[in-house]
Order: sequence, then structure tokens, then C-alpha cells
Amino acid sequence: MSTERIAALETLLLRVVARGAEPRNGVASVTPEAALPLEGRMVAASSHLVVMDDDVEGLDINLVDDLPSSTSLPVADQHDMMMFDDLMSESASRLIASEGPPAAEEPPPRHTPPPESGPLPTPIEGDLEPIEVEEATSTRPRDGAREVEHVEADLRAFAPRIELRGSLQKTRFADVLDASLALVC
Amino acid sequence: MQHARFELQGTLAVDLGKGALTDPGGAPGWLVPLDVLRKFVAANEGAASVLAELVGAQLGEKLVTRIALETDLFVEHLAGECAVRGYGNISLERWGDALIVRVTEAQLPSAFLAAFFSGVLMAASQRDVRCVSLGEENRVSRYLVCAPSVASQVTSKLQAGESWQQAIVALSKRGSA
Repeated sequence: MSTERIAALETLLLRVVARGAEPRNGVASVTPEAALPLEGRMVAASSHLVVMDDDVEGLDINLVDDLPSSTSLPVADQHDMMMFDDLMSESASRLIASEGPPAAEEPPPRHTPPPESGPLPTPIEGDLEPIEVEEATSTRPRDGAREVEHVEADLRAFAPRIELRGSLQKTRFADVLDASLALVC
Repeated sequence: MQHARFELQGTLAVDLGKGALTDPGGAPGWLVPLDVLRKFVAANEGAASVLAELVGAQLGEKLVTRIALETDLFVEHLAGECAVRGYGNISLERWGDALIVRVTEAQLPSAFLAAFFSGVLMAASQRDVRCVSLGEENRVSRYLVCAPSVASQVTSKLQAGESWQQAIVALSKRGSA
């Protein structure tokens, strides 16, 4: 894959992910593998959309199991998705060419894109960790507290929900913060 | 170490007899209408940043004991405390190692929120932290959490027309660039 192609894909992924990452009604949307090395560069990805392995030449591309939710993809514009579709189709073709045809018992894609959302990438099953979703306890004012009504109402709508992947959820926040503070331009 | 999940302890309380208000932390407070605050921020950018950082620091001090929490619990506490105070729906994103505070339906100007989150995280972590506004898209605003030197460089890049995604991609670990 040429440097230009990588750059185009990288930019496209960033754009699609940035627009496609659905806000969850909750607290955390943390993506531990959010940026993976891609021939010395970093490609941002999201638990909501795409994870790309670092083996670009092998085109070992995995799509996150959460991909093509009907609510996240239409956020990207049609042009983005067509480009994305082209890139992913090309990548998939190369992957199949390098590994042979898929096994007959290969399960079908887990998500069926909605017909109105335009061309979408074909999901390729990968060896990804499942996304763990857990419901946090709801936040309720203590009995007897003199609260302002609208505060209580807002908190009912708050309904925190955690969506984390891998081991990051059990990583100390201080370590996550330090890693970000250690970044340089 | 076992930590409790976020639970609202104390609420905005009004003592009609005294004509006083206390915030969720039990400190005396004063309600400021949002549109008034927006006008103040627009007319006094520097002072507003100081105010935002101080307000954030007060919240951050409350989070000092939670900075060592696991990420999921810390985020829950941070978001809960912010929600109680009207700062919107807060979540975190991590792009590589870059930590980003994400606010949905933010009601306050981004410069104010950037200073607010800087104050929160500085006070909570006892580290020199800056938050840079990465802009707003689809009613979602993002704030990069970084070192002060990086903050100024990222700000320059954004002002020069780079997208925030490009700016994030350009970040690398110290010593590995």
C-alpha cells in the first residue's frame, strides 16, 4: 500500500470515526486501542467503528463488532462512505487473495446495513475482544434531601452507562492521564 | 481497594429563611443564569478563564482522592459531579494515548470549559494540565488533555487550519518521535 494510500485511509478513518462515533448516554467511551501503529504512524480508530491492525501489507483488517450500527454510519457523509467502502473492499480483496477464499462455515456479517444509509463497508470478522457494557447504578438524591426539582430530573436522565474495552477500564485514571501528559508534538 | 460508584451526596439546597444556597458539596453557592455567564465570558475573556479554572479547581479538589481510581469509576465520578453542577454530559475518549474530555450539549463557551477542565484535572491530579478546545461538531465538543507546552502547539496548529484529528495524530510519545 502506497504512502499516499495510507495517508488517505488514515485521514478517512479519522473523519469517519470522528463523525461516526456515537455519543453514548453515559459516562465513558474509552477506546484503549484507539490509535494503532500503521507503518510508523498512528491511526485513530474507535470502538464504534474501525480497528485496523498494524500489518497493512497483509491487510489484516478487522472491523469492530459494533460497526455499522444503523445510527452511527449515516453521520458520515455519502462521499466518505463511498471512499471508505472502496478502500475496505480493496483491502478485503487483498486479504482474501492472500489467505484464500473464506471457509464455507464462516458466519455471515453480524450487522446488516440499513438500505437508506448508502454503500457501507463489508464487515470482516476479526479476533476482537467483545465490548463490555455494564450499567452503572443510577444516581438518585438521598431521601430527605432538599433538592431543587430540576436537578433531580436531570440526574434521572443522566443514567450513566459505561462502555469500555479491554483492560483499560481497570487501568488507574492517573496512569491514563499521565500517558496523555507525556505526549509531545 | 474498593470504591463506591458515584452517588449524589447532597444537592443544591435552598434555605429560604436565610436566603442562602449551598451547592452539592455543601459550600455556599450563588446561582448565575447561563446567559449572564455567557455575556460575562464574552466581555471578559481573561477573567472568565480565571473564574473557570478556579471553579474547576474547587471541583478537582473534591476528586483528589479519586484520581487513583480505575478509569471507569473516575469517569463516573467526574461526570456525575459535572452533571450536578450543570456542565453537561461528560465522557472521556482516548485516541491512542491522547485523553480527550468530551461534552455533549455543552451550554458554556468552549474557552470557559477548557479552563474549567484544566482546573478540575490540575487540582485532582496535582499535575500541570491544560485542556485545549478541539472545537464542536454535532453538538459535541472535545477538549484535549495535555501538557502546557503541547497545548500551545496544538492551539497553533488548530489556528493554522489543521483539523483536530490531524493534531491528535501528530502527537507522539516523548522520546519516540
